[in-house]
Amino acid sequence: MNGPFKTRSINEITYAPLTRRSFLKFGAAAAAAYAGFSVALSPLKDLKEHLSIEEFLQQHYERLTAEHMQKILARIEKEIERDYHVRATVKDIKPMHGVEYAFALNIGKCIGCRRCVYGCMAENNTSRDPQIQYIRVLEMKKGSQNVEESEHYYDHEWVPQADKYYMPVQCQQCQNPPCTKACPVKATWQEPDGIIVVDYNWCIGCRYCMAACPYWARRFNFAKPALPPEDINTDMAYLGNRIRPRGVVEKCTFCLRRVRQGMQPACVEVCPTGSRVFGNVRDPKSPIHYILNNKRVYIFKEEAGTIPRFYYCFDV
Amino acid sequence: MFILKKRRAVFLYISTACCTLIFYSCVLFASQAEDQNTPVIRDVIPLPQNWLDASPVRGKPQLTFYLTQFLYKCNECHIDLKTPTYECDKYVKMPTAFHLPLGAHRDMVFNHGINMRCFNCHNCANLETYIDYDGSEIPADRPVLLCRKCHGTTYRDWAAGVHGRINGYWDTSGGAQEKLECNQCHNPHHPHFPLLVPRPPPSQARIPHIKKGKHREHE
Repeated sequence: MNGPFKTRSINEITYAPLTRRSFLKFGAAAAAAYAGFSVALSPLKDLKEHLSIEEFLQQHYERLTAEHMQKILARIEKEIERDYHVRATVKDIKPMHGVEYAFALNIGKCIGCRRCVYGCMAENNTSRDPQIQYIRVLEMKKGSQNVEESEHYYDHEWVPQADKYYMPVQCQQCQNPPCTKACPVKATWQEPDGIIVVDYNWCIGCRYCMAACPYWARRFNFAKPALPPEDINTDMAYLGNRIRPRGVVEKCTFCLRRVRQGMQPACVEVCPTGSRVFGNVRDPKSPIHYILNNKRVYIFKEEAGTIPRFYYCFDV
Repeated sequence: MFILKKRRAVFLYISTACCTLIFYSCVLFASQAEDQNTPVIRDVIPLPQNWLDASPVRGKPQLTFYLTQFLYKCNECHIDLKTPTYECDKYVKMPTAFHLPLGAHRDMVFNHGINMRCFNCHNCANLETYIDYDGSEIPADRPVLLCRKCHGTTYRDWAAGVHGRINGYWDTSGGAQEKLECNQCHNPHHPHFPLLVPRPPPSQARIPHIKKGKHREHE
């Protein structure tokens, strides 16, 4: 082949002797590569502070042995003490045998005072800033079931208002949950007692479950939860109310720490009207069983096919 | 000479990119160094304790009476002063002025529907107790037994545990339950559940509240 292209062959360029110019070129390229690499990996530097090797290598909840779980709980306690200056006890509480929870809310009695919302925040260590609340109280027009017309930012001097009724909405603990099906890593699942839980250490924060939930029951930790030390509930459960890390999804767990030890959820304990009723639906003597047998009951967004364990009822 | 020209252009691009990246990384590292001094926990105001108060709306009412800041039991007046016989009449209406000379019972509000007679509920012979249909006494600390005279369906719900709050354990084998009595929520003379002040609405801010200059959101 003749022409200008033949004057310098590839071999000539590759094996050219080291000149001042080629040294400088190579040095500049290497410096650029190093700078680019370090910038690209700099987020890992932040991660190293808060993601230990043990946490990175932690197994899925269902594959953990008791010994592993003990180590993980100790690590979480240490992390909480480091970040929040509070000595907490984190337990992994297993579901009771032969128990299935259900919840009933009497919308005829609820007056929309929002005591439950703040009782829930105190029990579950939800972030105060940015604020995370599991319960949303909808103020509805009497005679209407249209939630599109409801108002949840109402701020009256007194409740209840004359022409309104109030409908608190929280996680409905569905028997056919769409959120667990949407999770790509199986970080959320349904426990044998019906509670849908999230493993905060396994969650990757993709928020697919939030998009799948028809009740807007799930909340995302956009920032590390800010909690004043005197507000922290130091009795914590691994799947329940322990302080969440940043970038994970959380939700109402029927106060898993309380109910699996026989206590009632925090929202039931503070409700001044007694419109909230909680119990074991498999026990024929339980109040929840009485409500399902004797009261008029409906479920929220029945057409979604989620079959909630949360029932809205009213006196005849 | 085409390759040479092209290589020169590539070199120019690389050197420009290199300068930019070095400058950017310097800025980044400088900002990280600044972050290390800021606190992990942002300043947050704790929830006010009265927001978490779970006591019943009316406390634990008894058959007692405050008169000029002293606490009296019913019989302290009604034994000595001997309730006049006409007041024992079943048809004495509640909002009467017969206590006005002593100022007693003056500030009561009566709004209990058609139940307007004192001695439908109070025992005329012993005013520290209530009265049943058959004339037997009902102790003052069991108002449930009195209210069920008329509100049978509500009493059935209450006994089943679905009317009024139950505190304590849902699993009764694990611990005790505490049931509220009727008059811990309802005023017997004005039984409508009282209006309450609602707790504040949810925050509409989706981002953390950061004080300018002092606190940075740090992870």
